[in-house]
Amino acid sequence: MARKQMARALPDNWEVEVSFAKHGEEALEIIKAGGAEIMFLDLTMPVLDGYQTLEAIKAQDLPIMVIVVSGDIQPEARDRVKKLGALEFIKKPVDKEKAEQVLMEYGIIGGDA
Amino acid sequence: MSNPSPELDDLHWLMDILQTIDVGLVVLDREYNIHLWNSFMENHSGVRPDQVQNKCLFDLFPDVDEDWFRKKAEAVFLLKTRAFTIYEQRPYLLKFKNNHPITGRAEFMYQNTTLIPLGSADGNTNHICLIIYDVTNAAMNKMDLKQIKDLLGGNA
Amino acid sequence: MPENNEPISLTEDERDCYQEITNVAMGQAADRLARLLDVYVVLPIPNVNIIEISEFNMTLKALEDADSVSAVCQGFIGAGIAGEALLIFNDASLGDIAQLLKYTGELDQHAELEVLMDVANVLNGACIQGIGEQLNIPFNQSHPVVLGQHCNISDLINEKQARWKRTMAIEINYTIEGHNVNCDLILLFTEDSVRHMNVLISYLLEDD
Repeated sequence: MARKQMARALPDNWEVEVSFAKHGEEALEIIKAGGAEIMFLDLTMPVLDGYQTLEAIKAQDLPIMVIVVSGDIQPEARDRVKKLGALEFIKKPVDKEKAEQVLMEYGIIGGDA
Repeated sequence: MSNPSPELDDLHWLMDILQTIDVGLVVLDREYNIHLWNSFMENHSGVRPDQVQNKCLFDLFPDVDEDWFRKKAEAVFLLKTRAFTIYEQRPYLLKFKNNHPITGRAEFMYQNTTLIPLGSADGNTNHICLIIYDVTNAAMNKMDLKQIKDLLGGNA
Repeated sequence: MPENNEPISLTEDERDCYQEITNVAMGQAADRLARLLDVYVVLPIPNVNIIEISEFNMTLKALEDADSVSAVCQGFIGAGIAGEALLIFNDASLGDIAQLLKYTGELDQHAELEVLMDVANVLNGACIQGIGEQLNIPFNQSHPVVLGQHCNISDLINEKQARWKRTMAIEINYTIEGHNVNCDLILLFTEDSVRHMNVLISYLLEDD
């Protein structure tokens, strides 16, 4: 359901292809296959969690921009993900305005995307 | 008969209810000064609202365990979450006499309390509401039950 | 409102939805606990299951090795949904939490009760209200009740006396990094509540 909510929060006329992964390991496979530029990453996942995924991306120097979207909002969680290379942290449930704001802030979408 | 201001009636009703309701209601600010003191509190403490208005709870009632209460209340101010205390932790917060001064067996009123954060315009919690419940009957019953169980020796 | 007597069950989507809602609520709870104790709280994936009362003890896998536990129970109710939040501690954890809460002095039964209540206040409230926020329900919480101190898990729920047969149990196991702290927060919902909630979340699960 988290994936559905995330998909709904993306800007309406953003021309992108969206893929979904059930956990970190699946996500890494998609990234390595060259299929992604931006990733919205949850922290609490089975098999490979968000932190482990970020570590793997860093260690393997994978070309992907990561925005963490999580219910784990404790102060240290935010620090840790930023240190692991995430661009930004958005708390769940995500709303459209917040998602758009972050995407614009990092120049991923222009003013009139 | 038409009612020119029904909203004002609602407000009057609420005030009446808050005053007569059989629980203690106290509103405290960040420095633990009192801003609301309903009839339950007045009648059981013998202290009137005008005597407590804007005065510090701990100054007025030195018997209250300040450290203990502050710890509970600070969590409410900072985390904006409700806090509950039960008489098994501490029989009472404020020492009031038993509601049944003649037929009652308990020496004082056993109390459960709830602390709720009160929101304000700046988004912070600058006030909390302390609600005091008289649970003397429940406490006495539980003690009686325990005595009987002990007499019967082990799990009854 | 559906009022059939079909035993409740969850589809995969419904289970996933409850997990997600709980994830957000427990994140809020963990955040508060983290700030209160100045620690990092490990957040696992919540377990959502429909269980029979006879299965209750088996559900508490995280605590099954515990020699003795202490537990507090708090009821909540609102808009057609009623349930209880059970907070169960591995007694071995109590010393560590007491320290984190900066309790000095001997950790007798009384002090342990204080610790149980302090943690219950933070975790229960945040979880219950967190779920309520997402479902748009301001839940009422009743006073916590001590279920037992220094007892066996099997002592907590009396199978013969209980009036329920099935419940939806959402189990969240909290541990704190670097400390020996292990507690389970279990939210139990009545069958009627589950039927009602399934209707509420059906809007969230709708395909666009």
